[in-house]
Amino acid sequence: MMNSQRLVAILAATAGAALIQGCGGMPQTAEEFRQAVPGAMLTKTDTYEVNRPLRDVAAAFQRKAPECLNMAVRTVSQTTTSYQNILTEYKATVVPGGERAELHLQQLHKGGVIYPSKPPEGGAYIIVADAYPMPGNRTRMQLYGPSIGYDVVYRAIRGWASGDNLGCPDMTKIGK
Amino acid sequence: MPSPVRHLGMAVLVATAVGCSGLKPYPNELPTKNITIRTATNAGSMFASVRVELDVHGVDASCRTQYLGTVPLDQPSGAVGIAPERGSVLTFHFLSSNFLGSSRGRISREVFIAPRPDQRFEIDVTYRDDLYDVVLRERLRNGTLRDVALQDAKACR
Repeated sequence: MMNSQRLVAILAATAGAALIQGCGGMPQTAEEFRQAVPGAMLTKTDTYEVNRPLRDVAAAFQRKAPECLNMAVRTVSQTTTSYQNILTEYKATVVPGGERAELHLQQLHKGGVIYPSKPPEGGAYIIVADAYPMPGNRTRMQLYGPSIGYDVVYRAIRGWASGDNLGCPDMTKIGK
Repeated sequence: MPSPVRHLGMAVLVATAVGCSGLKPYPNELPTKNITIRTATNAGSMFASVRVELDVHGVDASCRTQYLGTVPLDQPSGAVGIAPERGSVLTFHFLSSNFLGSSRGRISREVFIAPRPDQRFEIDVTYRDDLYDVVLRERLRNGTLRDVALQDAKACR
């Protein structure tokens, strides 16, 4: 019997893989992901500003994203009638630049999940965070990703961008 | 950029079966406690809990690790002595569980450190609102603290 919490977890875990792909196939690049999110189910975009220059935000992304997001998460769930053991690999990519700094998070399930189409190398895009320079040494953040299940990652990215919290997200909390 | 797979050892998360049975207490018998550890946790909910454990591994000249024992970081502050002049890998495990243990998680952060005999370090370990952090600083002779970048076991090579 699947409880509601488990259902939410599964929905969240597959949001990047299945829901965002819509009818046009799974986004194969970060740019395709940006285009796909606004019209996809269970996704959102978010915008906010931080009081730091773009170069500091980009530096924080370059330091924290590989350290905190490049990892594998094994989820084991068992009930009286089912057993699931899913290894999920996360891969972060940071693309620094003077016009925009980008942070991409990809997610690849290594079993237990059937992809409706071939995911890109490194896994399905799950979150893209773009940082744009603003006047007054400020930076505008633009995020694309799932609307449920990934709050802990969004909060971590916000902390890195603002410099207020350089902690890593507990990736076991994804989907909870 | 290192592939995610290469980070498996750094942070493998297991959502169930993270009981602490079978863990060997770290003897912590060295006379000099060269690492002070401050721990602060907040699971963010009265229906959740989080605790932190530290595994201490010795590292030999070939960069092979040997598990020496575990220190429960269940006090706000504590001191640990690790062997100077050789490497050690400190693995901090953040173990979270929700109401009645229906969901459990474990996430880990690995730190490679090779202190000189005269060096003293301070480590701040935090877990708040599902964000965790390990910050390593060296206490200099003049009393000031210097941030030290975290390295994992690959730094041994």
